[in-house]
Amino acid sequence: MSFRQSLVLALMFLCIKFSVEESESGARLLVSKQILNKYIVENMDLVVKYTLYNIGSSPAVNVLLTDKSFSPDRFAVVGGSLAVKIHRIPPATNMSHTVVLRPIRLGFYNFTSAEVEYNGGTEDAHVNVALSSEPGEGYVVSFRDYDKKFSPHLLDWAAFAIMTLPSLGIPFFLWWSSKSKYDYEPLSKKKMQRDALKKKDDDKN
Amino acid sequence: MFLLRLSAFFFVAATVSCSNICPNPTVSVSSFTTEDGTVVTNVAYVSQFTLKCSNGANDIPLFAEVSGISLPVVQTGLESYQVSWVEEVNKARSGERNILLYDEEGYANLRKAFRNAEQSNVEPLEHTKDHG
Repeated sequence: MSFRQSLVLALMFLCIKFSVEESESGARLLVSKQILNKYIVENMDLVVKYTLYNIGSSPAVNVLLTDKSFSPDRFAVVGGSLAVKIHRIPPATNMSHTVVLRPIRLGFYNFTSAEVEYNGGTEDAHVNVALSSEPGEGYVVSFRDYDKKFSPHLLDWAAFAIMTLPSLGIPFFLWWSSKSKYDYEPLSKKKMQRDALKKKDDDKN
Repeated sequence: MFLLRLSAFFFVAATVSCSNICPNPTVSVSSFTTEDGTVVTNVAYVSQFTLKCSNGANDIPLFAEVSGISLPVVQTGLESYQVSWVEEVNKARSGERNILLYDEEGYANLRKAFRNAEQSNVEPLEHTKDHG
């Protein structure tokens, strides 16, 4: 290998080394978007959690997290904000943000990613753009269907009890009336005493 | 059916001013908590508040601490902020939650006290309570 070739190789190696170091030195955010629901039900809470993690070596500053994936005609925000600013995320640090929404309409919905813009450090004016993970497609169940499956059906049971009451109550009433009419009444102590007194009075007279 | 009812009310319990950045802070809080534990896997606690300082300062980086756990405070506007966290449904409890708010200086002092395993006597910038 000639001197020139070895010099070119050394320069190439240096260039690669610098570029690798440069990419490692800045802030790098990993963003996850999770839906913390077992069922997505119309007019019931939908919990969305965003987690940001800085894998870079310098802090991410002026982090803007915006989620435009929830269209206002399908979802209403009930708790939290879908556009937030985080001043600073230090290296190897987790940051989380939670929003609670309520689906207005039922049907399939594709939950896509949120967008994050950030600066890689105090000296770095370059704006980095990151996209979060996509939770994917979900189905918004109607409240009626959900209620059919999971409600305690208190009203239904009450109606059932009222409906079965005559068929149970009428035979019981008939039995009770006949029992009280023909049944032998055991003599109570008081009655025995009363009868004894009455007999004594009768004997006196 | 297991129904988890957690209605949260945040209110300002005490106003402690210890900061030059934001003297005499006044906080108005609105909160939201997931009410039904049947459809969700984690219960979300969301507290949104506006912080007004007597010197008109805004866009202040804030830090929060709830039950000894530090939580991020995100900014939703110039004077409006949000603290949110999630808890597993079977671990979530109703009751009072104290949210301590710190500015950068106060939070750094608190972290230092934690590192040195000292009893923290860092006064929070603001002290709000959450009744779950």
